[in-house]
Amino acid sequence: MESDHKLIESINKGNLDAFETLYYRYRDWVYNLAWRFTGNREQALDVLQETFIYLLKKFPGFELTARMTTFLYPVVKHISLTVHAKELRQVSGEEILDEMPAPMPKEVADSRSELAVVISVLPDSQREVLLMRYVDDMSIKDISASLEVPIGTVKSRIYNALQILRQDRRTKDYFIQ
Amino acid sequence: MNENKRHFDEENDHKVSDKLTADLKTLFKPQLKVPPEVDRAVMDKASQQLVRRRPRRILHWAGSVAAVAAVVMVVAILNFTQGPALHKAVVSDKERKIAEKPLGEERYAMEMPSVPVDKFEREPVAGVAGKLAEDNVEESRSLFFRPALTVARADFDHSGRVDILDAFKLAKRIESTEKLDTKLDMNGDGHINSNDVDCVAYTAVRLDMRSGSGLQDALLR
Repeated sequence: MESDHKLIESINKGNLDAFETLYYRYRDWVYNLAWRFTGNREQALDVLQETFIYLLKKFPGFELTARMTTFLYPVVKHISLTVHAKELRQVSGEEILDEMPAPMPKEVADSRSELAVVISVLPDSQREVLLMRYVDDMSIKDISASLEVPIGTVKSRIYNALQILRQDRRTKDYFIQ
Repeated sequence: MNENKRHFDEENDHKVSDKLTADLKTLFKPQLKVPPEVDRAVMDKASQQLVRRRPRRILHWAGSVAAVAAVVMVVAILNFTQGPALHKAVVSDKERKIAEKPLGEERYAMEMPSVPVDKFEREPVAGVAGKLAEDNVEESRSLFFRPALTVARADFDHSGRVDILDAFKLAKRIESTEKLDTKLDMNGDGHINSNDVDCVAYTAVRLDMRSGSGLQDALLR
C-alpha cells in the first residue's frame, strides 16, 4: 500500500488516480467525523465534499508534515461547525451555536445507550479528545497536533473524562477488572 | 481542578477495557454509506482541479515561443534600422543576381518595394544634400536586397502564413536524423542548416514592405 506521502507527491504532479486512492482511504473516516459533529447525514455529506475540495485546493504544492488524520481533523471540525451553524440559522434564524447541545447524533440519542448519555454530558473538550483517542484511534501526540494544545492538556482531558465515566453508576461497570 | 495541573507520563492511566472501546465505536462510528453521487462529485472536482494545471504547461511553452519570437523580431527590426552597414556585408553578388531574377523563377523571390526603385532617382537634389540623399537611397535600396520566401514553401504547418512555428518545425526536422528533402534548402545555398531556419524565422517576423507601413514610408522618404 502506498504511503500518504507518496500519494501526495503524485497528486502534486497532477495524478488523479493517486487522489482517488487517498479519497477512498479517508472518505469514511471524514464522513463519520462530520456526522459526529453535525449529527446529520446530509450535512455530513456536505462536509465530506467540502473537506476534499479544500484539500484539492492545496495542490499543487501540498506538503504533509503530520499524519493525514491530524491534518484533516481540524478541517472537518471547522467545516462541520460552519455547515451546522448555517443550517441552524436557516431553521431558527437565531445564533444558537453557543447554546448548541453536545453534538450527540440523533441515532445515538435514539439508542438510549447509557454510555452515550454519559458521554453526551461530558464537557466538549473532554468528549472530543476521548472520541479522538478511542474511536478514531489517534495517538496523544496526533490529538495534540490536531487541536493545537499541549500533550499534557490532552492527557489530562482524557484522564478527567475517564474519571467521570468511572464514577458514574451508569458506566462504572466498564472499569471493573 | 485546573486540568493543566494533572500530568500523566504513563498512558496506563488511559487504558480502558475493550468493551468500552467497542461500545464507543458502535455508538460514534456507525457504518455510514457514502452515496456514489458524492464520490462522483468529488472526483469530478478533482479531475477539474488537477487537469487545470496542464494548460499552465502549455502557457509556459507559449511563453517561451513568444519570447523567442520577440527576440527574433527585435533582431529583425534592428536589421532594418541599422541595415545598410550590415547588409552590405551580408548580401553577396550571387545573392544579388538571384534576387534580380523574376519572382518565382528561383527559390527566392526578391522582396522589392511596391514603389519602383526609380522613384528614388526621379528627383535629383543638387550639392552635398543631394549626395547625402543619393547615399541614403543606396542604403535604403540595399535594405530590400533580402531574400524572402514564398509563403507556400515555408508554411510547413499549412496555416496559411509563415510564422515562428514554421521555423521551429524546420529546426526540428533538421535536428532529426531523417533524410532531408532538398526543398528544405530555404536560402538556396545548397545546405540545409540553421541558416535556413533563420531564413524562415526572418520571413515570419519581417515587416511587410508592401503594406504601406510606417517603416516603409520612413525608408522611402
